[in-house]
Amino acid sequence: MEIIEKLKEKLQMNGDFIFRDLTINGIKIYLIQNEVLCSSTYINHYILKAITTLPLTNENKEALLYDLLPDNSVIKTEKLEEMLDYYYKGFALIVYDENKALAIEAKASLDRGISNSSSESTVRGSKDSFNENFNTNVGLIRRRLRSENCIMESLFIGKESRTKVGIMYMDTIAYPSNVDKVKEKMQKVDIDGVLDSGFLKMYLEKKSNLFFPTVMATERPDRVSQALLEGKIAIVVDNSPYVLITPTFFIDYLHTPDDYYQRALNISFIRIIRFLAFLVAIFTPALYIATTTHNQGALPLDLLLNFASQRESVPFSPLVEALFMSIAFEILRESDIRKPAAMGSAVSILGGLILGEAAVSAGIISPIMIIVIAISAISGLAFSSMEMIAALRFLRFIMMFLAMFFGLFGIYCGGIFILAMLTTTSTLNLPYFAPFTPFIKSELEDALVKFKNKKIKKRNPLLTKNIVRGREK
Amino acid sequence: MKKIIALIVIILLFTGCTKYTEINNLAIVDMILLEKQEDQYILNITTVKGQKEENDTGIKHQTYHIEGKSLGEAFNKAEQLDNKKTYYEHLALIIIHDSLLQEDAINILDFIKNQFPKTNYLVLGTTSSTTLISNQFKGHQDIEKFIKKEQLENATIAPLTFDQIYKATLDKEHDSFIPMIRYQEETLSGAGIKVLKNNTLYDQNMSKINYLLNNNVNQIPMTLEKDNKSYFINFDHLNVTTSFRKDTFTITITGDLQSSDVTKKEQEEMEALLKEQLKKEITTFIEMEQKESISTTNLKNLVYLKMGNKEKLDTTYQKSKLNIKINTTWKGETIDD
Repeated sequence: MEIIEKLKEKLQMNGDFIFRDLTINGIKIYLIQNEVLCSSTYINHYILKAITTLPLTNENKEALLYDLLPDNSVIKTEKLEEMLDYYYKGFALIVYDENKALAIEAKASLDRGISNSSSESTVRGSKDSFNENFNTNVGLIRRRLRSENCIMESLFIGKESRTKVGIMYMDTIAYPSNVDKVKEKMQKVDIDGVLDSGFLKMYLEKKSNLFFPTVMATERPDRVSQALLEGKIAIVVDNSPYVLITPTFFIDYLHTPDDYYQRALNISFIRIIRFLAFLVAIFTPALYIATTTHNQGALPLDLLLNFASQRESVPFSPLVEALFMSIAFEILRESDIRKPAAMGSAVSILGGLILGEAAVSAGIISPIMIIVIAISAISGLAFSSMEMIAALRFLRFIMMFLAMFFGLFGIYCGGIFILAMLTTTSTLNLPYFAPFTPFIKSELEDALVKFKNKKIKKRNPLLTKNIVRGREK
Repeated sequence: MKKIIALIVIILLFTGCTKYTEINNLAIVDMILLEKQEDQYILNITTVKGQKEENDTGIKHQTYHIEGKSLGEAFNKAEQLDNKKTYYEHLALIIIHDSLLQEDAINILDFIKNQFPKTNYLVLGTTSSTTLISNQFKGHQDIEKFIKKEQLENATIAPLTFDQIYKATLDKEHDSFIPMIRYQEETLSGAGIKVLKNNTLYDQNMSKINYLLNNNVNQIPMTLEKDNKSYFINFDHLNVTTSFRKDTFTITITGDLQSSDVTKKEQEEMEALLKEQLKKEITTFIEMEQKESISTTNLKNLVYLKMGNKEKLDTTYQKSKLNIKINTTWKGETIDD
């Protein structure tokens, strides 16, 4: 058959190409599968076993194969490109006629199962997290939103990878215009391959958004479910354990899904701590530099003398000290993430020693600088979003330079710059700094301080017209 | 991206161009003592420095003695001390010798105001050698300790900030004064107050009354004599209010009396004696001030507020009568009869 020759031509050079020709009741049919992407066990036990027992004839072969093969996903296909597409999606191809084939889903399980989230730990709440399997990820969301209004539109992005991407939203909640915007952006993606959801992020974010992330990537299904119920849109990408959520506001990065599983008073306190961590992460080294170079009068005398005595033997300026410490910390953090497990904690211990006692004893840095940078860096790690952590890092460096040049005035200018950036950044054409700007009173009840649950009955009016919760559209 | 890299490179190149003084290159001034001897202006500056010790961070004081033909010249020489820039932001105390106050107190205060940005440091005057004081006392805290003790025990001194003193010089209805101290037998004590208007030095007793009327002291010790016996009574938790009505100043003083020398039977008598003595002292004080048309208390200001104009202010003030009310309550344990 011509189609067989064409398929062989395209696929034969691959080592994982399996081709089997069968003659059943004198009818020739061909089985083509990818050894790696298909489950041989399933094909052997169910597909082949069923095929060999079918009373095939030239007249009924199509109907019998289509109706009686024990698989819930049997697709008729006649085009070579479609057949190749299905081949690489883990479908087994049964070619039974010239240019006619059935694609039967027989995907092998190549994922690692459902495990705990590695980057977003939870104190209270579900421990499951997304993995690399698209169906599993969508399934985890659908388990939580068992509603016909939870829509999942899929498309395939990437010329070579043909990665399956699902756009999920609540039909009765999300603005159709927002959904259309996301679909439009996804359809414009023109790249060879989408290997992770991170590839799609840059297409969803505006180029002018320099620092703050406007698309959230999360491993947690409960977070995605909450976002969908708010009127946001989730993008599930095959082979990626991170699902994208858009639009996201600045305040969303101060929230965790656990916030809705605990008492309002506890959560309010924790959110305020997170906000303080945000400020500490950005401003602490800059404040130290400013008060030791330009604005010594801002410090009480005892503290000033304390700092002076600690810096006595240090040959470098506070900025150089801070940069050295910050960069060393980032190197240490990076090596901690990348190091092989076999190396154990030796690197961390060595780094701690270098950055700690040894550097101080050698007179390279002052003890107070270690405290300042440590507090700042640890505060920055209070956020689960890698992008937010990166943004804080950049801003910290900028503030340090401003403090060195202009002292406290530089810090004020930097603070105004950050505020200006927050208020002018947009996410899917919505204001990033909502509900502070524009002022949305109802959203403030769950912004920094969380009011009691029964009081929070309304959704964000920027995200949905269906504002009142628990009500049909 | 290129623009960002260019911006970062430019910023890095600028790091050496900023004008700043590091914390270790500052000579942090704690205390300044000013004096004039013959034609020379003497400036004693005490600096503080943090010192890293084994398990503790200590403070080290150092005094610098600088002389100049004028105050400006002396301060000019003091701009750099041991190759460190003099830093006055944490100045806590200025002591001015009487020799400078006698010369031109207001100009001295003006000069100090222009010299130092902040005005919340204490100002004291002294009749003793400033060099001696600076050598004996390391830092303002040592001096403040003595002053606070003196304030509590004898009420003969109450430290004032430069702000409080300087404001009064600008206020025509209120005459400014500087508390004076004296160094004697390795200790400091109150030496009265120096009224800047007429260069008068009030003695300890007068200054005690001044502090009382200005609510600068919370308690005053009083020693009463009766039948050749001395009684020490502490008049504390003081509150003084003054008012002016129908050409009469009404001064109301309330407070508690405490004494371990007075029995219960003697309380009434002692109370009456105390009131009489205090009234006498206050009357003497105010009459003296009225005569000189000076007002180191709020009294003249009350007249001004009532009158609204300054034309007959001095006359009205001088002619006003005095009405003193003292309300006391005995507190604490007394000895048995």
